[in-house]
Amino acid sequence: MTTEIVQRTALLQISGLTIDTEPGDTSVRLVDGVDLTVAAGERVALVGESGSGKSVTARALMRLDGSLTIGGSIRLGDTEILAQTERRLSTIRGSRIGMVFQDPMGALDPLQSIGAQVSEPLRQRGIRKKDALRRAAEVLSELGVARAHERLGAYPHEFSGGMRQRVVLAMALIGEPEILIADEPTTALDVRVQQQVLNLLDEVTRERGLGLLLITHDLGVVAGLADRVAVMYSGRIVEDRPVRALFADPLHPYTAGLLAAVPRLDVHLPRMTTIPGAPPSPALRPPGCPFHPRCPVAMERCASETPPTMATADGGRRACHLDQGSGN
Amino acid sequence: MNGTPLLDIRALNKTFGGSRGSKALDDVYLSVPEGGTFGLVGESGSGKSTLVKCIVRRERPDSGAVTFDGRDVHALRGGDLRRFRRDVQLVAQDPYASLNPRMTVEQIVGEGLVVHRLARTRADRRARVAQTLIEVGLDPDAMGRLPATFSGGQRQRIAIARALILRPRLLVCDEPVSALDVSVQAQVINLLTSLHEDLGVTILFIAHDLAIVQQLCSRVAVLRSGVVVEEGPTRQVFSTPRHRYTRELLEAVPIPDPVAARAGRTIPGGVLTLP
Repeated sequence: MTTEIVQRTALLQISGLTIDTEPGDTSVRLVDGVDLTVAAGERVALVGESGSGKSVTARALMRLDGSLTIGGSIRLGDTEILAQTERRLSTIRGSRIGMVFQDPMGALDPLQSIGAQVSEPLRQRGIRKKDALRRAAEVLSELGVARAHERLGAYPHEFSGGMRQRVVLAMALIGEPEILIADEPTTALDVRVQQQVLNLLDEVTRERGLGLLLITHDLGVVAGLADRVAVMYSGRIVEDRPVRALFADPLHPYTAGLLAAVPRLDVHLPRMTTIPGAPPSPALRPPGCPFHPRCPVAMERCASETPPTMATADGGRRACHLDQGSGN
Repeated sequence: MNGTPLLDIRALNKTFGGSRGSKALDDVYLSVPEGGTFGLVGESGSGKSTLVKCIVRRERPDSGAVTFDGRDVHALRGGDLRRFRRDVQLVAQDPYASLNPRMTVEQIVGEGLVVHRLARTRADRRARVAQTLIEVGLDPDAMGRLPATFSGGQRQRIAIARALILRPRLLVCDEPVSALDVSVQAQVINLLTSLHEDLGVTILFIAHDLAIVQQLCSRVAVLRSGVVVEEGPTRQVFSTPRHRYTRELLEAVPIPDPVAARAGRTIPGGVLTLP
């Protein structure tokens, strides 16, 4: 059942991605060889803590950080993102890739009406203002904004946090993209609004058969939404597996530790389970497996040899020197 | 069972922006027993920050009283006020903003000893800083370093050490782990649990994360739009919430389990089905 996931056509294919800060003596490798695919209609979560490189990866997909050196390949269908001119990129951003970021307020222009902002991607394509606005109202009401047509003239500050995230989502969806990239879309939100936004992401991706790359630090958010989860640590993907398999039987000690450290309402223990230490800064990445100083089962070779990424029986992969687990 | 309240809040009201302004706190009653761990849960705009400010005297309530150890906090003067400022310590949310970047760890953690004239000599102060750093799980050799050289979790330990060195009776923790990585957050929660057990310090823990409150706090109050909608033992409130708002909050907590999250979910209190 799970093998069909890998055999579906890749919509987004990231291969050998490296991201470095500005060249020179102080250059730091933020992302150190990442491979990741999202198939059409597939919902993939990229999970990591601070310094893991997950957010910089998300931004690289859109080439939003001009000062970074990006190597490897990012293909969207037949288009190599890293070979596009800035002008062609901005078309791709509006029409083929939709983006939702953590801070809906930061993504919105406080001085422009909601209608103007949501319809903008269509206006760029030369669609008449009246038609673009009508479509904006339609998308907004599909996303649960009541009386959307009347509220096109409203400004972002007149909307609540949850409503603003709907507006941002409408901006991302109006161009009918093939894939949605959501970078910590619920992090700053209250728990009830977070739930609404997650349900919304679930619905729109399911109904539209839209690919989703969800970047988050929160495994709780991932569990209900993603088909597949890639766990990133210090610039590398350490495990990438179907969501149920990963939660039921994590094959990388970091994934296992992270899952155990998540506070849960349904678990009562006298002490929370912890991972000792803290994630390393990219400038101070330990040699070998970057997780080895915190790993409860580290062996001698882990400190010197970078573990190769191996396929697991369930169609996933992991990078760890430990014997391959059952993987089913 | 609950002991005498160390912190007692009665009929507290606070409105911002004049008489027609918005009510941040609306007739709030809370009672934190000595030696207890008390969680205060609320979303943004619930009034929890205003309540914290009223407790630590950064904001004056319009009416009502905050009583600490039997005395009205807002009427304290002189020696009583100095005593209060020792006995009640605040650990803020953001360990990046709350530590002076130009001060060494020794200066930051030892500052309270200087302010309250609690160390006779520099050597005495240094020894107590070292001891407190050990209590929060930091290497005392790090004393001479600046905050910037520490990770977020370590900075929050420094902030806790700074509060703890005064041997406070009440530790007010305002979202102390929400800026930390998951793998580090659990360490800080365990540290607070240990400090409570070992030192008997009373903890008032303000948070939006209900799972963390359940982990740490024996009692909990739920604040919504300035009103305490529910209060009681954490297990009881979370397993049989009486107020609809509490239920909504509990139902909205994502469960890190793909099977439960998709199939309908079990939380303490019953099976709920997601829409």
